[in-house]
Amino acid sequence: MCSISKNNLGVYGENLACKYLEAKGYVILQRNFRCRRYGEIDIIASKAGVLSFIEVKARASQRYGKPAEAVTLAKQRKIYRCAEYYLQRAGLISCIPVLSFDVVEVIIKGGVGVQLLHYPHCF
Amino acid sequence: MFAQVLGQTTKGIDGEMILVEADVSNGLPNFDLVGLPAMAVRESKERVKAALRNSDYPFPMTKITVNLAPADLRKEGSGLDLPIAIGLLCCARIIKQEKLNGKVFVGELSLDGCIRKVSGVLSMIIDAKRCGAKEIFIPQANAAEGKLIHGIDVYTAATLTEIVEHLLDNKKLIPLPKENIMQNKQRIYHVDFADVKGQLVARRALEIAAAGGHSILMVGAPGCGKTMLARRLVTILPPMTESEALEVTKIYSIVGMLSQTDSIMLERPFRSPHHSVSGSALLGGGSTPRPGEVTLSHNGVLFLDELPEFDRATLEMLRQPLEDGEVSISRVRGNMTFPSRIILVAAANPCPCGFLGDSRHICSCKQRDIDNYRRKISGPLLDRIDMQINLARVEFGDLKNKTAGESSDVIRQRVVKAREIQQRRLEPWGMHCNAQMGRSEVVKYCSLDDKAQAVLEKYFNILNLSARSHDRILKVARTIADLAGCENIQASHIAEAVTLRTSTGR
Repeated sequence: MCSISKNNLGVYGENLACKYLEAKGYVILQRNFRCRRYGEIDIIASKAGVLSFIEVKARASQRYGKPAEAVTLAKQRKIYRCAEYYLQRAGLISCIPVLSFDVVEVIIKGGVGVQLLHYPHCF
Repeated sequence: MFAQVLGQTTKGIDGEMILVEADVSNGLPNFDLVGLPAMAVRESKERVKAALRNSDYPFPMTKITVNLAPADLRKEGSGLDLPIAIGLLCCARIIKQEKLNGKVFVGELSLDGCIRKVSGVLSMIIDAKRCGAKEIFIPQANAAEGKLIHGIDVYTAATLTEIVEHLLDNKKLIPLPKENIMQNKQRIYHVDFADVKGQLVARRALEIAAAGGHSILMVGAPGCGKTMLARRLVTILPPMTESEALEVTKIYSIVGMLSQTDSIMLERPFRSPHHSVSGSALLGGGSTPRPGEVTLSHNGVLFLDELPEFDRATLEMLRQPLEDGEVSISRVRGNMTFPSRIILVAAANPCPCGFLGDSRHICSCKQRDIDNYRRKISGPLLDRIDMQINLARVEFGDLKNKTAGESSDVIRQRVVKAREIQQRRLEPWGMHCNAQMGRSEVVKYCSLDDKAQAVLEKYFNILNLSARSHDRILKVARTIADLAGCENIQASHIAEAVTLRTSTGR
């Protein structure tokens, strides 16, 4: 496994995250749900009645801090807006289920392997 | 999931019950705090979040709405942190709602889950009891105030976890033992009238002021003992009754000036603001009404040293508190009435250099300067001060004199006797001392025989006294008669009252 460019790193990370979640029993509903005004949500998944909006952050080095810290307040608000839009489109806005906003960190250690951490209910 | 918890805030000097409602529902994570919270209350959100997390309790990452009812009352202070946290814990189904009924929670939370001290706890406990609550939980640092009110169980806790464990019946807290407020408390004043040498006129005048609650202005050269005497006035006032002591303790609790060791304040307050004090600091105010110096000296003494140096407009504001015994403050954020039944003591120099009328020093002021200086204390304010006396300089002989003057204890006994007479006389009218008498009471209780009447008339005409002076002289004379144990006011009492009022030559 080797990452060729930044873009691929991100996609690679997302794929890895999806595999991990499916193994955990999550049903992946949407990937890269985009809305022009509100940005994008990496993965929308559901498990046991809980609807999860997951942001995947893949990093090759820890130089610039933990990947989870890259999800700033501004990014969180964007994800909220996008999630609201999704709920609207899915017709769930009048009866909102239990929501969970998660972060999945994918840390790629060169030569050693990959570390994947899932932080549920994190913001 | 919905929860209701009782909390308290302060309104003026009283507590006010607040119903904290917490609602947790599905939706985008959000925390709304509604119900007109002031800034410190708005910041509760952050404190509650951190305190819950650091106490290892879950903080719901979902839509939270907290309402502070009644919704149109502005909530002040940080004491609502604790009930908000408890409400959220109840919504998270960690605490059951039934466990919270009839209980009031007060406390500020620090980020690690400790409960910090809050101002005004005494008023809150009183109000909680009034509303029928059976138990109240307060910060450990406020424990001293919790021992005073009977009829309600007061629990203290140092951390949020302690309270939750108590509510889950895992580790129960013990309510505070009650103290009998007035028993076994020795009031120790550090000053005594025996310290003052000479100044017999002033001692007599202050005794009368203490007995009848009269205001007094002392005029004298620098260093003749005006401040020293004023400070000792509190030592000859009768001891406070339980309700008076509770009132004073409430006021000091609200402004956060209550010491942690003494539960109840038994010494009458003595306040001596600097003459640069502003109107708001003196009367009370600020954007949310806060008690001022006149309220901080309620049931005690307010001492204005260097009276001519005070801003004239500020002094004019003293009119209402002096006459009505309370001060009404209107601000954008509310109208409040604070009690202010005080004895006003004022001190002044006779002229800018201070030596006018002195037997040894020659006064070095020009007449115009003297007039300007005297004019600073306006007629209307002077008229409202019951007694105005001159203090002579203290001779060396007096200072070296080994025999001490009368001690405060001795003087106080006479004062207490005179006050008892006034209490019996004025209780049906809801008053405590002669100075509070209005026109009708003066007519009823200060009737004079012919001889005394003649003396008063003579002085009235010679000195061109006003009608207000007339009534005030009668009230002071009534106090003098009470001190002497006389049923009726004698001519000698009138004469003394007149000299005490006008000896400064105005």
